[in-house]
Amino acid sequence: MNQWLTVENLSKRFGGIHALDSFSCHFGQGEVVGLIGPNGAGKTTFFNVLGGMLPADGGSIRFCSKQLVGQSPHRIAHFGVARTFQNLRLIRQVPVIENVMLAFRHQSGEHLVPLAIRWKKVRAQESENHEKALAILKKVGLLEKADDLADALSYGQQKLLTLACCIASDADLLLLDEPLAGVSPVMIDIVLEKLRELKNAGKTLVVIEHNLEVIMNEFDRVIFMDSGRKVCEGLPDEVRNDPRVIEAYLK
Amino acid sequence: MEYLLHILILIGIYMMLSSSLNLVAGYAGMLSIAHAAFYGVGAYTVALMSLNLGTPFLLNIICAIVVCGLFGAVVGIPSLRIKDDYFIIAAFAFQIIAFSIMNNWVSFTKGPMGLPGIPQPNLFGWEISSYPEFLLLTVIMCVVCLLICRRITHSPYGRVLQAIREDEDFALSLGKNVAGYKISVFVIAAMLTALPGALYATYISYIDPSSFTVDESIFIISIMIIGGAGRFLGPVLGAIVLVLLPELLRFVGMPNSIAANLRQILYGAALVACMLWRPQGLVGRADVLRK
Repeated sequence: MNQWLTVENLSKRFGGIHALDSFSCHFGQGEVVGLIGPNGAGKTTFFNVLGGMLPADGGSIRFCSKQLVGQSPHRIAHFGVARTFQNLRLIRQVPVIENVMLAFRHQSGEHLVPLAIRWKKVRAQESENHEKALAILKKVGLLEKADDLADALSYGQQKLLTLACCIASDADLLLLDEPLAGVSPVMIDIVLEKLRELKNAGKTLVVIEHNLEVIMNEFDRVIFMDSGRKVCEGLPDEVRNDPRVIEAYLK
Repeated sequence: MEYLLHILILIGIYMMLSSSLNLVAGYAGMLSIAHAAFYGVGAYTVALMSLNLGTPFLLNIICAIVVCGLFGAVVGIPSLRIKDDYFIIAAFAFQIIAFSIMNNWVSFTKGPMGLPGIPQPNLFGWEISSYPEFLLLTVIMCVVCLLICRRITHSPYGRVLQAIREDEDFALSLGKNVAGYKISVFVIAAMLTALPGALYATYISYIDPSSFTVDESIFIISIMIIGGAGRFLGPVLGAIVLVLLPELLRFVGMPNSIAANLRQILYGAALVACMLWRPQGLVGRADVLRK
């Protein structure tokens, strides 16, 4: 198995609660892995710890031979990890296209020195990024909304926009927290199509999802979590019929 | 005529002050009530240097920029750990401390007596003494200051500042070094206040702590909010409106004792009116409604 991203004995406690309890798993490059489990299983906590938003209490995360535990969130993002949030996070009071442009990595104009002395280069990169952002918005079908405020988009469109930001960041590992929750059926198909495109582009997707149909049809592999532990993993069919999974949902 | 030039110079000073505050408060969303303190630090640095050391104006300004920048970093540091209302209180504390030092360290700042007789500026042999000359200096400084502000706000750097204002965690998850941005924008904004500080000290040729109080900070904030926070032109327009507004009272023949109080009422009324009818400020986008 390709050990592209390896998580070993990851722990995170909130007071007496073990949100992550010696959680171990690994992901291969280009996989689409579903992370499922009942509420409070630690799925979002796992994303938060992986992304550096929460410090781990123990364990290790190795991503492309880099240790992620102990790194600051912006460093981890620079290594090529992007995520979406369950409660939508966007810069609502600026236009849609600015949200996408924000997500590009390695922008020289984000630093003061090039801003002061290499303005031409900054401008050139900026207009290049503007074109790229328009292309991405076209791909997700938000082109005509480019100059509207992000706040003015519908819920489903905002979910698409967060996905557009992930595409713009060009990260290799995408952590998607319930990308389909609360999205209309028509929009679900659009989002799924974008996810397939990302997979075909060689990205690794880790997706928290509850929709059984999506789990069965879209994921290469499923990891089932409960109480901060990995209960089982395997092909969607195997996990679906695992007695421990059924028990966890019924208890 | 001199009166008109005086008003224009004041407008220039407040444009610089509120535009620099706009970087921190309007774009990055850290409402700093310490801006008059930075302004005072700049003014006092220039005044003390020219009075005690007799150093040239340009050197004084450069030193004031450095000193203001250092103070900016000091106020910026708490913003890394505390946000919103709590940060406002921290900045407020700095404002009070700075004022108390200016007011009480009598052996150094002459306290409430202030510093009279600040020499007029001399730039490369250009002796600046008359009103038109000061206006020219104001315009030059203002253009430099606004160009720097515009460069910053209309850039990827400015975009990250807005992201920090709206959602820090989102900015972090996109790989932006939020702490670095907060400190650096504070330092830049504080450095920019050295310009109006130097201008004010040498133009009036007398400074005392009463020019750099909390009230002054609030006035600068009012300019930014009424003009339109987070917009480049907001503070520019706001400075024109809020400096001219009380001047109108002179023309209705109001005695000065009443006009001074009425001025405060006017600012308050303008802020309330703005909150009611144009919460995004005079030049804000119509579809932006701040929560």
